[in-house]
Amino acid sequence: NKNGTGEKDQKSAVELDYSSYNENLRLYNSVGNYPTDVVKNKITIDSNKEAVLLPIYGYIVPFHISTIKNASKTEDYLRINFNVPNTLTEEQIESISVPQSLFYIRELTFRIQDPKSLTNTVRLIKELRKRVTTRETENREKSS
Amino acid sequence: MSTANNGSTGAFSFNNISLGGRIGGTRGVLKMNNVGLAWKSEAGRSETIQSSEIEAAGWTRMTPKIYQLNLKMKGGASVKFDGFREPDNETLKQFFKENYDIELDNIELSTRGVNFSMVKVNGSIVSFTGSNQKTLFEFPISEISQSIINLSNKNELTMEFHHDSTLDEEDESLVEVRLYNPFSKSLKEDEDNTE
Repeated sequence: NKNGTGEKDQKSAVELDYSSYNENLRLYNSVGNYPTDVVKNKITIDSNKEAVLLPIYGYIVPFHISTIKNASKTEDYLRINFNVPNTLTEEQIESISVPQSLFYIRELTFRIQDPKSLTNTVRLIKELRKRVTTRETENREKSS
Repeated sequence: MSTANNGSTGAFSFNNISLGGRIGGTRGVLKMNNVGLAWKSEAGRSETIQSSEIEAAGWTRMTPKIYQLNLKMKGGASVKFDGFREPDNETLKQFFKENYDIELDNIELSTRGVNFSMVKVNGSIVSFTGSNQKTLFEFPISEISQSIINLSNKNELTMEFHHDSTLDEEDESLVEVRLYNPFSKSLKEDEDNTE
């Protein structure tokens, strides 16, 4: 039993360090839990789950809004910037077993030819971002 | 909607199937019999597969409504077909077992919502895999038109993608990914230290 708990602690420490901004995040159990209006090659905003679902080579990849730093548009391109942690120190690398093939997505750029859809997507992401930031700030103020 | 017709020869045909693993989605008809699979689009594009070349077959839910048949070929390549519906699973499972002696495995995707993953190149495929070994997404390495390591920030890797000419106007397509590896810098320093 003691060993089991130890392992668990170690695992959560690793996961905590991996994610930094979203410890132990489990947004959807499976693709079956995605909003029913999700289709191939379209960005979907799920405001219930506070998620942005992005089409990547036929896959629909969900990102919790807390992983997103900002969204902006230039001409017919949508650019999404993500939060990434600082470079790991040597101490951290030694103390936790994080595989070296670990990468963070820092930025994704999509081409959206429909200007209405582009403007709308940027607006929705910004609104969701703001909603979550405001709530987090309020929670922090309440607890302090 | 895809439909399966069980002909007297034990052959099947599915409509509205597109090649998976890419952004463009030209649809066509996928026929399969005991020799193999043949996909043909209205525009005349085609893809044929000999059953003897298939190493493994997977069944993946891609959206709430659409499923994918992914075939791992001997030699490392993979061929994917999108556009199946849930009930097609039983048909395909049985067909693959009876004709090719291959089990159709259920493959679940990683849906945690995080922006980190292991990145590996398996043969000709670049795979993004979660800590639970589930795939977030993957694409053929040939889709990359240019990859750049940022000179001023060596733990950043930019990949630009080819434009897919079969895109519909309403398709929202990925054109660039910028990745960040939290190790590179430390590794670089390590190298310097050992000098």
